[in-house]
Amino acid sequence: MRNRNLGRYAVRRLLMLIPIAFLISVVVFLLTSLVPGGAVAALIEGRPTSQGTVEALKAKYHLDEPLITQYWIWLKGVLQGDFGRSFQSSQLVMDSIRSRIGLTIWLNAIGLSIALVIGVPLGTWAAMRRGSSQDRTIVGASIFASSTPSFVVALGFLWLFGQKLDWFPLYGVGDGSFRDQMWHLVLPGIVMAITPTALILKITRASMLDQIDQDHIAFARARGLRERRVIFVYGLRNALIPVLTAAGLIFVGLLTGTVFVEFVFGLPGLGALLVIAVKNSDIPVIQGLVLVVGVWISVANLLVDLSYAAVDPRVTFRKVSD
Amino acid sequence: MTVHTKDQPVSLARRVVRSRPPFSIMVAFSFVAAVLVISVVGQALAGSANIQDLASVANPASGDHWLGTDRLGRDVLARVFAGTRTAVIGPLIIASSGLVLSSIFGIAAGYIGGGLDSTIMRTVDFFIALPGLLVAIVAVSVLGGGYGMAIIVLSIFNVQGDIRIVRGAAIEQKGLPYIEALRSLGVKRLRIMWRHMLPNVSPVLVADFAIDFALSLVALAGLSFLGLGSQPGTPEWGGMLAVNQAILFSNPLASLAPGFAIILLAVSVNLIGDWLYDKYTAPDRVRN
Repeated sequence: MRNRNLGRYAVRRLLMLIPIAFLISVVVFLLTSLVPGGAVAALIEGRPTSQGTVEALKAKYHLDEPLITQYWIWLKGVLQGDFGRSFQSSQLVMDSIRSRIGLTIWLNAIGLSIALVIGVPLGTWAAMRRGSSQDRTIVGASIFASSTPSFVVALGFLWLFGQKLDWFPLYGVGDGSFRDQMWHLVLPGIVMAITPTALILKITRASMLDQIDQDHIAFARARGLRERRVIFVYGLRNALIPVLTAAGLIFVGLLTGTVFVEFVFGLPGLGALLVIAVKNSDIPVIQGLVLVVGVWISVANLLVDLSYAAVDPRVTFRKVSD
Repeated sequence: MTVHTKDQPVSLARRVVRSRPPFSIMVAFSFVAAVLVISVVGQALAGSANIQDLASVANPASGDHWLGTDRLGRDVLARVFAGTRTAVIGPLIIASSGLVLSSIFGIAAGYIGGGLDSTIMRTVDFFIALPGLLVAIVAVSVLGGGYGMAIIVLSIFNVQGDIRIVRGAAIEQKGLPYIEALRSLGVKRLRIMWRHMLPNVSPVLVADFAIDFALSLVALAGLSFLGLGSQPGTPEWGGMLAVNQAILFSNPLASLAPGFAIILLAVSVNLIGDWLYDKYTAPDRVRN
């Protein structure tokens, strides 16, 4: 029964991706026509041009066709992995994205891992010592961390660890070997993790506090189970469900952090590509990146929802029945 | 919350002490007040933000220039002071619009419920799933419009979380006897929401205002840091941070000082917001 519900829920959730993908594609396509003056203005960027050039540009990019036809042509291209070429570098957008996405995924994964490894234990610890000075220190630090913009920390770290102490390399990704690359990602990864750590800590602490008051915990204690077992097996396992609920928020936070961290540390990932594209109003690159981010978020939310449903059977029951 | 309840009656003196905010909150209030004062009289205190002294470029801190000078020989302290104005205005607009819109939509969704509620909440869910700051980055670069556009986009994204929280508070109020009493007296729906419910959810609104302010301060500074948002040359904390990154190693304070200013203001406002939230609502509840 339960597996059937879960399966049905998964299918429903997957089917929902179709309208979402359509919506994303329309938004991305319409980006060009949102530029003041339209796509031609974006192409010529204020350079003096003749009428002939404008006509040629229009013909080349199919701008003289109706919007629906333009969308169809564009969509056919996108489905074959063709986002066009960057206005700035004439490089294929797909190639730049492909060569940079790995770094961004690594950076996000490192940031998330650090955030989980630090946030969950500290949140649990603070909840178990509720009201103590340790609890207050941890909570205070998390408020501090959640209000600290990543670019400020990035610059501070660059100065302190890169320059003053000289512990870590300053910029770039190193000589290409995997080890060196990872070494270059340590500092950026830590910076990435700061805000999500604070978020995870806050949620873990709050839901752990909730758990501690529950009857099943009191029962487990009354049965004489070891405190460690009570906390980790009965408390924490339930306390982590709210963290899973907030995972979408955490992914979005990480993604935003990537932009600043890559920019400051000179890392050639998607975030840095976005900054360059945005500064040059490089529409094809921006389009490609918006699409990647849209897909990224949809897939992340899908995975979060599915794992949530797998952990908590009430979800599938409710969502299937309504 | 570390208030220990004891059995003996609480003396008046202790009650006064108890109602006084903790030390950290007092510090936070003082810092916010200082920033507000500086945004008005900053120029009188530290001189003009745009005077160049090309003989002393990118100097570290000294007696003449307490935070040193930037790449064009401008006094960093004067520019940090001048930056308070931009730092305060944008977040104030975003947080105020959040306050107004979330009280309208949040209370309407929570109290009226039904189709209106689900329409509003689906919209909220949609926006919350999107990275607001990234959308702002793309919008400012594609649509143009700089700082004003950034404020509009961030306002739209900011209000969504507020609506969710205010709606929750409104639903909580809806179940209380006083609302039922008003309804049985035949008081109009609009009047119940406006005259009776709004004052009761206002503590949540105030707390949200503070948290919105802190978040949008950081977001706007981030946009300026990337060279979007405010015009180049404007004394703005995020922009200073980025421009002065080039002289990070000759005068680190030129970029770190505006950075600390952002952090301190954001932390102060956040602390105040959290304190207000805890004070007026059930402690230790997860927001969002």
